[in-house]
Amino acid sequence: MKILIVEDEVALAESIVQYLEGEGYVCEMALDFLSASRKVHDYDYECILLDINLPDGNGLDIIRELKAKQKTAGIIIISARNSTADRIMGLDLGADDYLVKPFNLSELSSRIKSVLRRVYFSGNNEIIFNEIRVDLNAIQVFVHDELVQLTKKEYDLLLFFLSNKNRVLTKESIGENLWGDYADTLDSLDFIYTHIKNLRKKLVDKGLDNYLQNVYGIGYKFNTRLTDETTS
Amino acid sequence: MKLLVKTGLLIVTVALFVFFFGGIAYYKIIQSIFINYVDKSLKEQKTEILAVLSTHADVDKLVILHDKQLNIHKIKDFGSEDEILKDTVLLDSVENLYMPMRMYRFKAKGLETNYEVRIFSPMVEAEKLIAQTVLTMTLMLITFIIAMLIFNRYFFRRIWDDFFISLSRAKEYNLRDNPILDLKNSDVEEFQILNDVLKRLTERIHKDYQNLKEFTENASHEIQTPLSVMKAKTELLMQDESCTPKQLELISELNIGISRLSNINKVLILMTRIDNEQFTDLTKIDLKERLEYHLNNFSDIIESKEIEVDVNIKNSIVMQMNSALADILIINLLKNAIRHNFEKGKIFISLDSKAMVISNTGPDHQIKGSDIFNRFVKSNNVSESQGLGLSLVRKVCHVNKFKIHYDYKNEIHTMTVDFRRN
Repeated sequence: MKILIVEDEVALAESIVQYLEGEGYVCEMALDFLSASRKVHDYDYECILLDINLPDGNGLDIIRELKAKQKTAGIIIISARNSTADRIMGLDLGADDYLVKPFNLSELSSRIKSVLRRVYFSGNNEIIFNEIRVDLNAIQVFVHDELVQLTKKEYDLLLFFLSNKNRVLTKESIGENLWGDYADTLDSLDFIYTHIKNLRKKLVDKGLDNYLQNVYGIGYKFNTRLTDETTS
Repeated sequence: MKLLVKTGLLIVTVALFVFFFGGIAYYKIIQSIFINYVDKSLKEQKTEILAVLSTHADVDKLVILHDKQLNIHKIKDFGSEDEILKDTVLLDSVENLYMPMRMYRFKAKGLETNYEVRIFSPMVEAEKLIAQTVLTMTLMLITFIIAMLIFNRYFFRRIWDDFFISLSRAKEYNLRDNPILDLKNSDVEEFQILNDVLKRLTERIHKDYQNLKEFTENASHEIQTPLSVMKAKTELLMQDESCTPKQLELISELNIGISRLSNINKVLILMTRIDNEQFTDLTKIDLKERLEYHLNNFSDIIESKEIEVDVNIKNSIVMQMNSALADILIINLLKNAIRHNFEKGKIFISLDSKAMVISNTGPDHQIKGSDIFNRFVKSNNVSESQGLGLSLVRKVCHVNKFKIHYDYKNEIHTMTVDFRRN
């Protein structure tokens, strides 16, 4: 999977690359409109992260270029602008998602996975990880091919963890991903614990290893390595 | 008090004073003129009498001296030559009334004997004179006031017309809708100066406002990028396996701080955008539906605080407003009611065509009245609060011409959004 990151702020672009490479993607950076335009022209990418405010051009023109060449890349706009008009314009041109700065890298990773699934696996839409199988069309989760009854929030939570395996996810980023504006950093985020506890219990009850681990004081981690170590 | 009324009253007051003292002066002058005249004629009579007395011996036979207004009697010693002019009264036998008289008493040397002579001359009664003066003055006063009022009404208004036009234009001036203050030129110098000053001031204010708007917007957007970098870097740092739990905690706190900064910034951008009227497209919003939708999204948080919610909405309330602003209004009011609540507290929500009332149990935060809607005003109890949510609520209410009212009584905070636009 190749991802192009178009972002003029080097420090941010490098952070994104570092995080996404950890997820197993191949990443390339373009720091201005010209190099982005050239890269899009010469290569194919599965996903493009696009900052629309570039010093030498408007990122939206890159979308137009892609659409003109009929390239099938998932496009996620990353922008400091948060108005409905900006969103609508981007999405109308053919962007798949719109993420407002500043964002969590875990959130970005989860959006990329979702966009890639939509663009490339529209038929058979499943996530399989060891004994877990998630049917994204039916919104159902199976462990050892046995259906697990999850609430909507528990389902979303599991997807968020599966998109960010072996990552420390803070309570704040989980709150932001699942509850959006309704839970900000100001609120007590204890309610997240209840949902995680329930999800963990339901999964473990079906015979799943305990991947969901507490990271003391800050959040949670879907740890797949620990189980590798214990089983091997 | 209106300018016209004020000048009218001033004219009447000054006129009353002028005519009162003028009346007194008028009376005194008339009186002294009259007395002068009487005294002069008395002195002429004296000369005549002195001439008669010095040439005739038998005074009693002199017909001209037989007058009730003349009184002559003999005296032995002439003594000193003293004469007196004074006011006195005489009984009028016909009307049986005391009549005011001017009396002139003097001594005269006759052929055989000396005389003391008193001459009287009738005076106008003081009351009559006063009455006449008052009548004259009152008539003049009334005429004057009527004339002044007519003048005030027609001419004064015409003179001040340019001023009133400028005043009403300045009153309707709105920094946002119509930044140029359009004033009519005046041929009155002072009014023209006033117009020029007003124009200069509003131009200046408008320029400052424009600069401030641009600055806020640009600054807020520029801040988002470094914040993104900070957020990304802390998140990467968190993934570093070599971090100790203590270090992880520090990084996490750093991350929370960044998130809060970014939240404050987002709200400030939102406020600027509302100010810049970027939320003007209106649709029909079912407030009942929106309220229930948002309440449902808050349900996890409400349940975790074990808050009991009592919703009292009978019918759908449809309002013509911007959907994003409606959501901002409802989300922030609900968030406020949840955040400043007790564990196991209560929230009461009622909605009808007149108002939306959201009240919640909660500790006293010692914020007085409408201060609660000011930016960055926050309670001591919830130190993480930014104090921006309610000023956002007020802004949305203001845009929609709703009235927002806050009340705290018996540990219950009540927010009332009054929809009646008047």
